[in-house]
Amino acid sequence: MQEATREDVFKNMPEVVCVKWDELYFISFLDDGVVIKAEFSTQPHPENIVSDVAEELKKELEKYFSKKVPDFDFEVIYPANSERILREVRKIPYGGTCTYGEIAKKLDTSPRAVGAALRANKVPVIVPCHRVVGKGWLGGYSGGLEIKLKLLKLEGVSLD
Amino acid sequence: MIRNILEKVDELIIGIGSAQESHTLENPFTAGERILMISRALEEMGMGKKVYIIPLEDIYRNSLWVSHVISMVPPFQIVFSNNPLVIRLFKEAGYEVERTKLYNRIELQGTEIRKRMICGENWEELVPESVAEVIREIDGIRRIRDIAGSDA
Repeated sequence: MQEATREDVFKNMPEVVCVKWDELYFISFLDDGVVIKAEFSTQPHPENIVSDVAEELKKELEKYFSKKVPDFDFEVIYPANSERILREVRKIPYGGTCTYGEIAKKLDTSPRAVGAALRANKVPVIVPCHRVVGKGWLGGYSGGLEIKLKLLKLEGVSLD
Repeated sequence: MIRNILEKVDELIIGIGSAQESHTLENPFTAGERILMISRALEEMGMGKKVYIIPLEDIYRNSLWVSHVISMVPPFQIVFSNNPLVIRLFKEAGYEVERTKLYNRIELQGTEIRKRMICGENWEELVPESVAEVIREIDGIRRIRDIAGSDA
């Protein structure tokens, strides 16, 4: 006795977009058109691209990782208490940086709160938390500082 | 759910549906693998009663399905299910049928578990430890990720 049709099961499955960047893979997961998670991996992940949104995301990510300015205007998931800060981070343009303190000042909060919100970011690159740096230092990065540096270099940011 | 049913009966027969299927998103695991998961989970629960786990293939002919089940399993008196078609067919055949509780939650969890497996989130907390062990042993996560992939 079959209980769920193939369509039923697939309808509820997250979509997966996997883009190669040098020796790394950038893997994004979408649920109902919303990017719910993204991460770097040394292993590829099988793709599941069904919607136009996922297809569009793939196109923009490929653009990004080949040094072209992307349009990451995708709906993403914001963890509780981090939305305001992460939305502000999304305004930092390609190739630009901001310090924790500058964002904190703008939103009338503390640099530590900014750091905590960035740590909670589930969708790196698309929400460009790598563009937030410390004053006179690189700051942290959940994916590892090497990747943060590599992303900034990709965007042509000079770090002296 | 199994615990509740076992309190009411002397012996339990668990039918593994669509037993011919495997490597699909609906049924990623073979009947044998599903038997292993269920039997290990029952062991973990430590239920003392006799449980048979029987694979049942789909026969794609509803009017004959009850006879098919009867031919595959030891004699039984009562059927537990929440599937409307299963309930209808067994009632027509004169069997007592009882609905199971929590069915919806389990159905939803199936989706949630697959989703977490694909996204690399914590799926283990949604299944008994013994089942997680079997899935890890057979490299089930990679299988699910592969079959969830679209042709590219």
